[in-house]
Amino acid sequence: MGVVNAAITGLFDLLLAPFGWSAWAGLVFISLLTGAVLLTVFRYTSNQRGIRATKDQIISHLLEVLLYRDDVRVVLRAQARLARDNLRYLGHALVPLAFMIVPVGFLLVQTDLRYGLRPLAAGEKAIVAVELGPGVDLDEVSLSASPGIEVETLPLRIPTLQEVDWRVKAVAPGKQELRISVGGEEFVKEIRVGMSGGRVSRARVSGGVWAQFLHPGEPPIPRDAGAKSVTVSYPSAEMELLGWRVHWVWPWLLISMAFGYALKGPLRVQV
Amino acid sequence: MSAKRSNKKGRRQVADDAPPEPGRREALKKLGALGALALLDVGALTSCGRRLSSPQMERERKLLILGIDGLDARITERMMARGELPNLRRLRDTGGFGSVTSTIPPQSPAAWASLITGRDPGGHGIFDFVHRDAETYETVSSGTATAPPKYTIPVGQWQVPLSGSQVESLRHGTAFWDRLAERGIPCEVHRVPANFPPTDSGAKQMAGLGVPDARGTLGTCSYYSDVPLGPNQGLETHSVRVANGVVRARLNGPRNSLRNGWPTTSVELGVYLDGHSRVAKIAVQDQEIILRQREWSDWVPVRFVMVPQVKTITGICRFYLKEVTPNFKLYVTPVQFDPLDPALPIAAPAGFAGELASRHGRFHTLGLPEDTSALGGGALDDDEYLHQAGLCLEEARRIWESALAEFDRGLLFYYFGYTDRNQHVFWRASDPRHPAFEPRLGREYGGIVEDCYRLSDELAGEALQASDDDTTLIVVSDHGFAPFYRKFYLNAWLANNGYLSMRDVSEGAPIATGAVWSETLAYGIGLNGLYLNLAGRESRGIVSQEQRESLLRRLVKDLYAIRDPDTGDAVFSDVALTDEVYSDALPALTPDLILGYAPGYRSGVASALGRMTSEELRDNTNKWSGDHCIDRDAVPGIVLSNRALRRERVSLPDITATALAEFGLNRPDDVLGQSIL
Ligand SMILES: [Zn+2]
Repeated sequence: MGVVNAAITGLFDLLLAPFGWSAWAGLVFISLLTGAVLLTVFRYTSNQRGIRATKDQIISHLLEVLLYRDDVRVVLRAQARLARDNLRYLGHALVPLAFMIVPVGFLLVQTDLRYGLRPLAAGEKAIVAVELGPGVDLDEVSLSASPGIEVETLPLRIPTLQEVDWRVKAVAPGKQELRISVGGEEFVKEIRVGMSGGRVSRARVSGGVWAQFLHPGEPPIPRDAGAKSVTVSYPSAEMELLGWRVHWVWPWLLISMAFGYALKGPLRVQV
Repeated sequence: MSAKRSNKKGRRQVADDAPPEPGRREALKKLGALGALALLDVGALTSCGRRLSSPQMERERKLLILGIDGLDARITERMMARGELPNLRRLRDTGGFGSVTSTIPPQSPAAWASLITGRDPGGHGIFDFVHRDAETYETVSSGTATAPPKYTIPVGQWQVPLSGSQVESLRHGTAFWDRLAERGIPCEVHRVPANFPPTDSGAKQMAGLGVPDARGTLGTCSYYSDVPLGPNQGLETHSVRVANGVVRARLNGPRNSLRNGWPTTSVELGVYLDGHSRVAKIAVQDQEIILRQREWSDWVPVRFVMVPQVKTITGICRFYLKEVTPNFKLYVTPVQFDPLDPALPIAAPAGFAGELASRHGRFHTLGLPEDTSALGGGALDDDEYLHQAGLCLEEARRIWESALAEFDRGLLFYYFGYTDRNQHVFWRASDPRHPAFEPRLGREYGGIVEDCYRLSDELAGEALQASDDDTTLIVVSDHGFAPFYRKFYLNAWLANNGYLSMRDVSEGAPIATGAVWSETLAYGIGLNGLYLNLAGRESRGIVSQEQRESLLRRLVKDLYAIRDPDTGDAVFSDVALTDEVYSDALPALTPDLILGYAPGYRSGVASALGRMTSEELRDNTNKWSGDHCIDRDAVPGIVLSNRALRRERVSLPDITATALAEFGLNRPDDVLGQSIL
């Protein structure tokens, strides 16, 4: 999984490199990409002829209901068929959905890695939480950091959660380092201060494929390091949309859907 | 009786018909040879004593009022005489200095209400911090009333309102800035008491004293500990257990008026402790905060759910991790309305609070933000209280400094209450005669009271710096300060002297339910109010209009005769008949007598809240050790200006009149004062 993550992250870095100057530009590009990819996947994985036929039937049943609204028998029959055809239509969508789920999953995770969180501002505080493997002694964990980060508290050990926390304060901008030592084994977690653009990785994790899929920003923690994850409580990033502060997923949804809709004619896709 | 009472007529606040002439002649005399020239320059005093000005000039004129609560004239003069308070001295020497005669009674809400409306309490209707409901004899808030929604429909466990519930200000009279705003003069008013909710006049206003916390109280903090703290007013104590280094508790929010029975809303609080490192993590909703022992958090927003997915109320609070080991002690400030999303109209226009918060960060919105109750109840010690009050001051100063920097025309009126609260609770440290005084206190905190004046001097300096030739600067306080050595329990005295008959004689019994009203002639509610049990006004009144006069005469005589058995001193130096001292009266609301305590004495809180006590007089060993709710002549406030004053004794309605006159407005009939400039 580590290799796959590295490859996909690299690909997205490359694709987004021209848009480093603005989060909006990058997000618009990703949204257009999403619309195009989804439409293409849909075009080649769905039963286009079946979809067209089902849609035609749905429309004719709707007309029936409208035209014969005084004839209860016709209306009831038409409604029953409408229900059947709607199910059939959904059935046609299942196959492409299964094909789309993988690329969309990677796309969402990669987008969130870039637009979901914002780096700490200088002077801002955050919590660093290290979750340890079973049986690891909480007293054996320590944290140090590069000069741009100040570790403000002694370790807060939470035996019930097998977790050790610290409060850190961002001092100088840049890509800073947290050095976590568990029983003498040391590994590093990046922590970003005051830089706009680029990736903000909330957690570095070890273990399962799913956990790694969700946190592709940093290579996995070595297996023998004794830690399951290290998390930095970054504030979530917000984008300004018509005066509202919103999560990136809303403009992404709007733009990709609008784009997909606009392209379905030229690409002759039945949706 | 005493000379004091004989001049009662003289103390009626300057009436409409008082001629402006002497003041003006004074001013002219001061001008001397330069008089004629100066007159041209000032644009003058016309024959009727009012300034002429074109609408254009009105808009360019600047009036900066720095309102500081509780600055005492004698302490100010004493410190100036020592060569301290350089900015106030500069104002006195280049402009003017006067002493302020406060309202009867000299309580902050009543006094500021007079300063902003130009009426006396008989006219603006705020006589005390609590009033009484003449129907039930219960205590009620004097500043605001909440009208429940008129129509609700029950839906399951919910009460769905068909019309919004409303908070209504009980203050009568018009704030002077509302009159100015009507004329298109830009006005900005911050935290002035007795202005909640603010009216929508176009003046930018942030409400202050009078704004409740999210629970609707004057400020109730939460205190979590595994060592119990006794029950205390203004404090909610939670006895908690530390299990495996984890504490689980709840933080209470507003009551849910949308549900049957109005249950209190609350959110879960998880606290993870590390006794060795002396740090703790507080988890509330989706937020986590790590604090070291004796550290304060920033403001933490907390959402209380009224109707899931539909209605939440956001409150803000600060956490203070008092102790991790050996005991767990966590203090949480009263949960206050979030300026970014206030559930009540704490500002006008509605978005003004949010605008300030997005520029300067979240800030306290509670009217009485300095948590003196937590200090009194032992949740915070002296240093901790000072830190908490300091945080409030910092927030207030941040907004003050930016308002000053941007002030370029119209009115800017900014209020500070820190000085009042700190004098209240630290008087004991600078007065060796106080029953709560200790030499250690004197050494460590003996300077706090005077520090309030040094702070005020700094603020005045900042105001001076921001004032140019077009700016009139007024620094004003609402009353002074006096020691509070002994508590007097009026209701106990009334009971012992045959005026009040109690069925329930237990300590702390409420008179509303414990009195035999058919045998009761008079009762006390509020720090200074005495009410007759008047037939036709009180629901179970027995005193007729014919008896009223002679009963009042008898009460006045008896009250003046009270002597403290320990010292032989009189407890009251002024007993005012409201019929005589107020120009106007709201008959259903006005107490019959306002009791002016002699310096050193004040009402005990129990009696003020309408409760019975066994003792009449008791030493005050509380932290709350200085006060001003006494004879107003014993607590003069101050007024300073960068312009010469026409008089050295100034009443609070004079400030209203001055503010209106500065912008060329005629004095309305209900404004009792006269311009001092
Ligand atoms: Zn006051």
